Amino acid sequence: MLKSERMSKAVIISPKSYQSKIVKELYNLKAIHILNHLKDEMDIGNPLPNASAISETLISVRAIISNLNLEGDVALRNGFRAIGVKNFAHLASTVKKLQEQTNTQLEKIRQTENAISGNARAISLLEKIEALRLPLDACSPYKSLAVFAGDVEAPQTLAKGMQQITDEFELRQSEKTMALFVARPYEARAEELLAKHNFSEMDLSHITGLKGEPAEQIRKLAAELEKSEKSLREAKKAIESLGNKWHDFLILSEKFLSAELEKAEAPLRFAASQNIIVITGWVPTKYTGKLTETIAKITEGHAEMEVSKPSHDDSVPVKLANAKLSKPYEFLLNLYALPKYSEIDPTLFLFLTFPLFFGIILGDIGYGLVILALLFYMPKKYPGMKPIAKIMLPAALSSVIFGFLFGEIFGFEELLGFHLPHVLSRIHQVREMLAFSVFIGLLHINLGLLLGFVNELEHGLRKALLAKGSWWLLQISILGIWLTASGQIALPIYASIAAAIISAALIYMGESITGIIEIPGLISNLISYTRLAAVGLASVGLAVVVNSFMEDFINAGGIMAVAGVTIGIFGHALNIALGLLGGFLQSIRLNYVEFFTKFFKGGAVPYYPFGKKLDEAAQ
Amino acid sequence: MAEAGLVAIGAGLALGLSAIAAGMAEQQIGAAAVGAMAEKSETFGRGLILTVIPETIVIFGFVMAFLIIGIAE
Repeated sequence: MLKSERMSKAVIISPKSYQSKIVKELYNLKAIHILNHLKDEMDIGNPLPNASAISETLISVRAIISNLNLEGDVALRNGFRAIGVKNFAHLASTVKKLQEQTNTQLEKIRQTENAISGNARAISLLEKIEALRLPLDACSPYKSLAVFAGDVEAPQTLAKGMQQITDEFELRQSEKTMALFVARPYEARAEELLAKHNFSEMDLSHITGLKGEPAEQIRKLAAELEKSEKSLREAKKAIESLGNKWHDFLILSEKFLSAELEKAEAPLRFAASQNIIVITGWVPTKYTGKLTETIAKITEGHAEMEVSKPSHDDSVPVKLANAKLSKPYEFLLNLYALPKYSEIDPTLFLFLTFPLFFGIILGDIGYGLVILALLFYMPKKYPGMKPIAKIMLPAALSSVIFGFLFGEIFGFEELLGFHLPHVLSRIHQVREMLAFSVFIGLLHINLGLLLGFVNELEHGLRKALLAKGSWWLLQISILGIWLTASGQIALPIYASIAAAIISAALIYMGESITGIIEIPGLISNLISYTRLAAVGLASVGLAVVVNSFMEDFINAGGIMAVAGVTIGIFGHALNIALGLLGGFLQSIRLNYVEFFTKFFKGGAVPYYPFGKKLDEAAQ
Repeated sequence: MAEAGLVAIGAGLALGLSAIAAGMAEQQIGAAAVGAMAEKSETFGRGLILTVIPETIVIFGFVMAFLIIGIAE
């Protein structure tokens, strides 16, 4: 329980002919964390023959999913049957057909959209020409006349400017739009003048070939536009209905094919020669028997499997193994780091201390009950909150328990004339609360040192004594100095000081200079635990303030009483929210900063067995 | 009575100033931690630890404030 799942290293050596059978079985067993083979004297294996077909279909499926904008999740169970196909060939051909249908509709959408934008542009051009009161063919080029059609700035001065050049021109204007017909010899000068007016020419290519009155053409184009828009709507609807109809099929196929592809490409992770394959991986020790049996059965005894214990320099993947109650707290541990294989898994201690700290900080019967109620209600409404709720449930219970110990309910010590009994009053016995907090800190830190001692034992008793035992000697000598200085024991004070110096030297030998730097840290770590009292006191303070406001308003009577109740509800809601946040952060911080630093290093690779992907797809 | 007022001011300063100090220390760490978390969400734990380390300053302030009141009594 204090260590992660025990692992064994498995090496499977088998004739190549059994490769696909072995892959299939390993995938179903979901027990082996395969170590990728790096090319050395042995080459890596080749993917199974169906890999390229699978990956091709998978790419198509993903393309369709993105084209149809599909979202949402469906749990994959029962492989082909859930998808509704007979076999891989059936799946591939269905996907191919579906892709053709999708592409046809997408192409239709693209073309219609082009047509619509072309039409819209032509219509706006025609409207301009109509405003100039010109027939359509007037704009096509002439032998003796140059034509300029477009938009200009300061159109009112244009005619005057032209008159200074020549009278052989005709100008049609409508607001900023104009058409200018000028005799060829004056073309260059007219162009110059237009440039001064920031002339921008109309692109007439959209209406080439159109003849007759602009108004008539506009009507024609508008009718076409309406038709295109209708067919665009139809195509989009077709895409949408394709998406609705095939949603589950596509999502399931994607998951199924990803899993199949993982299987087909697994040999890339094996070592292989011409005739044999070698698979190396980590297996939970309790599954090794079953694995050996399975391999022997499917290869008819032709494969060899070696199982060995992990050695010192192996980086073993870690699978946490905690009991049901403490399991939710693995979440808090994962936020920090995964313990190394050889280290103690501190989840159990998180499970014990997190609720304890939370309870001390937010020890109030009322607040605890409100949080309990929230914890029962919220996960039903928001299933995503379940893991947090499981962590908070013991914490809320602890809040209620400490509420009884502190004799507090919603900040009141007295309710309806009945004085709540208490073991320790947070408001009136602050000094005792502070001492209690530091005492808890002392226990917690020394528990951390003890765990560190156990972790260090791996490097030998000497190392463990130097690195962690020296801290206990230091604490004892500090206690000695204090007791002698205050005259409680009759011992020469030098003895204790000498012991302190010796322990500092031992710390230096065990943990080098960082250990020495950490010595003042021991004191600040201890004082840090006073937050249990301090944050709690702040929370009580706020509750008392809310209550006194509420009482004053209620005593005033009438409408003021209503205001008083409102203040009470909102005030306590705010205080509970603050308390939840503060209590959570402070409790986890004391574990992360003060506790973990005494023993925990972490940083292991998570155990991810071959085949787990399919498990995840089924959720 | 005047002395009691001075004691209260002293205690208030001890707590208030250390709270400001903690805030100043935490603002940059917090910003950096959130930045790191945006890039790599698994840095949450480490980021949280680094962010709350200066919080101890306020706790020191609280203890000092409490001691000041205690001495005056």
